Amino acid sequence: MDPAPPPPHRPESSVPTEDASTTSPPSDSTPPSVEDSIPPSPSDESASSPSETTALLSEGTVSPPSEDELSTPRASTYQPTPDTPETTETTETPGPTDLTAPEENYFPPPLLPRVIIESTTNSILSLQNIHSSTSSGTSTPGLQAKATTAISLPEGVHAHQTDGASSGSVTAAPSFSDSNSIVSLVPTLNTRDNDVESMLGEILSESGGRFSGMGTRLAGAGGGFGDGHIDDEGWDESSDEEGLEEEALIARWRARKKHFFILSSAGKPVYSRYGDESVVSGYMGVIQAIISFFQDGDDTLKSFSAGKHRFAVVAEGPLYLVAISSMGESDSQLRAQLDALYTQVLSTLTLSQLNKIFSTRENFDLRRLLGGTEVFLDGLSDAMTRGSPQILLSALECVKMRKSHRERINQILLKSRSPSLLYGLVIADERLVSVIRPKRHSLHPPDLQLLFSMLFNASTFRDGGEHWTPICLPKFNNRGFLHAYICFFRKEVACVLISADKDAFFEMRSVKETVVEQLEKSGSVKIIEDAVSRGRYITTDVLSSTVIRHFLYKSRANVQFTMPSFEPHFYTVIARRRLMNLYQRLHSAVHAKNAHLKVHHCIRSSSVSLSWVTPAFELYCVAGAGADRGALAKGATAIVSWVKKEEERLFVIGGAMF
Amino acid sequence: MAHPRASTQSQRFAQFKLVLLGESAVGKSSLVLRFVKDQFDDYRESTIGAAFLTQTIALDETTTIKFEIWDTAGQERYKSLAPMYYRNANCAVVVYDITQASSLDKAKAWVKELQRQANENIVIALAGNKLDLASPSASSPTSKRAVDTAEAEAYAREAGLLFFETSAKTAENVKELFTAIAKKLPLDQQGPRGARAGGGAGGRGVDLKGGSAAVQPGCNC
Repeated sequence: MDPAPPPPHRPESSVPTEDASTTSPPSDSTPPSVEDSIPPSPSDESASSPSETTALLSEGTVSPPSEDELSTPRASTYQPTPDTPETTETTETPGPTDLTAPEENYFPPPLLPRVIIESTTNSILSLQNIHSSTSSGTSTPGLQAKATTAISLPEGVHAHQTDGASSGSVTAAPSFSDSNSIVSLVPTLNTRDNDVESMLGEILSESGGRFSGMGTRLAGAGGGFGDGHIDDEGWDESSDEEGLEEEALIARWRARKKHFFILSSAGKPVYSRYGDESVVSGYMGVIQAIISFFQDGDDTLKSFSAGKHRFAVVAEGPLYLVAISSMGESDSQLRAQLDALYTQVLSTLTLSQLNKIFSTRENFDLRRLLGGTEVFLDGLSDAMTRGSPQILLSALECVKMRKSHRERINQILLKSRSPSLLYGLVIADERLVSVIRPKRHSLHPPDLQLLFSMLFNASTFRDGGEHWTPICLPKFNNRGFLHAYICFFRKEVACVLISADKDAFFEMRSVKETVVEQLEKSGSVKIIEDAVSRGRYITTDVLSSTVIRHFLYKSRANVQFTMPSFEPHFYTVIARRRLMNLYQRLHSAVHAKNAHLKVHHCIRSSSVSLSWVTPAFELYCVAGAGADRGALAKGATAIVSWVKKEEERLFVIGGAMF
Repeated sequence: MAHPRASTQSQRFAQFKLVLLGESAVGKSSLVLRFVKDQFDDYRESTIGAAFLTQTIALDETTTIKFEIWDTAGQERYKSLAPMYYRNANCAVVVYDITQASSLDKAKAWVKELQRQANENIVIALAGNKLDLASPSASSPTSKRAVDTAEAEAYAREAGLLFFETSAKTAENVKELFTAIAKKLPLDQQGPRGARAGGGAGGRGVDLKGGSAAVQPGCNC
């Protein structure tokens, strides 16, 4: 916790100035060599809201400036002076983890859960969907935070559209079939409420499609969490498409539940999760045409529906990112997913290079430069299609362990560190074990999520070998690279050491060797491995008898979450996906901008669930069908007090700083 | 650079820094994987950044050679980082794919850069990989070879390179390649040392960068 203003001097972690001279001859004009290095930069755009200034992983400080080697004029003009921490002046600005939406300030202290909705399934669903569709950028993590900052000003600026036209379009598209509805969603009113239209649009699409079918489909749904609109076909993630005829290929491609596209503003394909160029390039062209049609009218297209598919569009500089989903996410959730993909792209290229490339060659084929990183984009896409609690909550998960055990690991990392080390992490099974960082540099959850995804959603780094790779952590500094030493020293356990110095490999390597040696000697490796093999706790470990089958608990102050194992109730892929889908809906209901919900109780034919949101935490609990509401509320209260008791085991609090 | 280790009298131990360069997807990582672990993956994800591996071979009864291998990523975006890896390298393997003529051009460019920028005494080997695809098989009745052996060999001779056609898949010539390099390395001369920190040098407060300062006899990693 370091709310203290950092002294405005240069940290030792910044790039040595001689770096420029020692680097290679290849000309600077060749596009995107991984060369620009890393003034740990002012993380300019994202100031934290007050509630997060104390968070371990959120930013509490402003980095000092340093010489930026990038030749772009931007780079220098963006150097802010390191006077005072910006965090103090931005109470209105959602931080990098935006779940602390402004309205949470209105919330009184935690209350006991109480039921606010009780009614027949249908009306609950419709109510819930109203809320779910009103959620806005505030519920999204990471780059979405830019909605209130200069970088995404265009969105805000263009949002001054009278609502007449678009509400017209809403009323004009009442029916629901594949043929009719492209409900365009023009941001309206003002920047704060610019999702109102999308709310209405979603109601329309849902009331037409989902609800009409809901009764019969639910009636037919057997056990599990058949949420009606989620059917089971098309969840095959295999990419084995060899030998299929073109028509079959396209049919299969169209049957996917979810698509992610990235294209350049000139309409060139950059990435598509499914389908080769012959299949997707035509669609890319169409998407580009649609987006630019609105742009020509000084307007910004954010989302629309067609059939049962929701289209969300994010324009980030020279790139368009599009998500097409029939899985019922809200617009803001889809945008959060697109932001995660965009972060992945930036991690390979940096924003400076991206802008530089496209400012000189609008028609550039970016795939050339992203070559080899498709596995990360694929892995991330698939994780988000499966349903990712990390992305949904924009929070991190930690390995549950005794405080003293974690403390010991922290101390080992701290004692082993070397001068060039910026961040040191031990990560196991996509969960954080320990992290050390300099006092004046915070680690941002989106950056960590990126790292976790690259480590665990692709096999690139998991061969037990030692890797040294340039990586841009966009929230830390989107203009330069850091260098990461990555080594899985056990099957599911990785040591990641990040430095600003590209020549620090051997230094990091010897740090790692000391760390691993000490971890082994102290028995910590075994503790970590046991924790991994044991898996997450199960719900009945927490509450000996309860109706609750699964829950997500997010500690807002720590920007971390905890959840029990998906076993035994949600073991299968489909059950898990349905559960995550339910969480998505609960999440969007309580994060709807004008919902002001603190407790949300939702009864479906297949599940009973409860969301409970306070300034300190968010809790989502799911029980089986027909569960008693009082028992559910009691369970929720018990979970909250259990988490409170176990807080220091479940979360990395404060973290280790140097 | 050879570090004669102060062990038994007639035993010699030397350590060399080796870098692999070449276009993406020619099989650099596969060659290393075959050499270091004697394994082969039909499907391998692209190398990101660079991977660091070591392998020790016995050259003869009295000589042990340890290679510290930088397996670099072939993608264009990493081009500017290459000097960091070949700087101070004792030897380099420049790899091309015998089924892709353009990859030999790229290899030639790497050789040129190495001869201009790298260590003066660097031992360079040219490896034409994917030799298994040269012989007709059931799946492809004709050879996929696009680069003639003679042509590449002539170039290698002219440029003063070791030359092998290899197959990481079948292991053909892989060990031979690295052994030939080891034999050509100057065992007895004290060569320049790579930017290399002694493995056990506990790192704290010590400047481990910049090569020679950190040299210590005998490496205990």
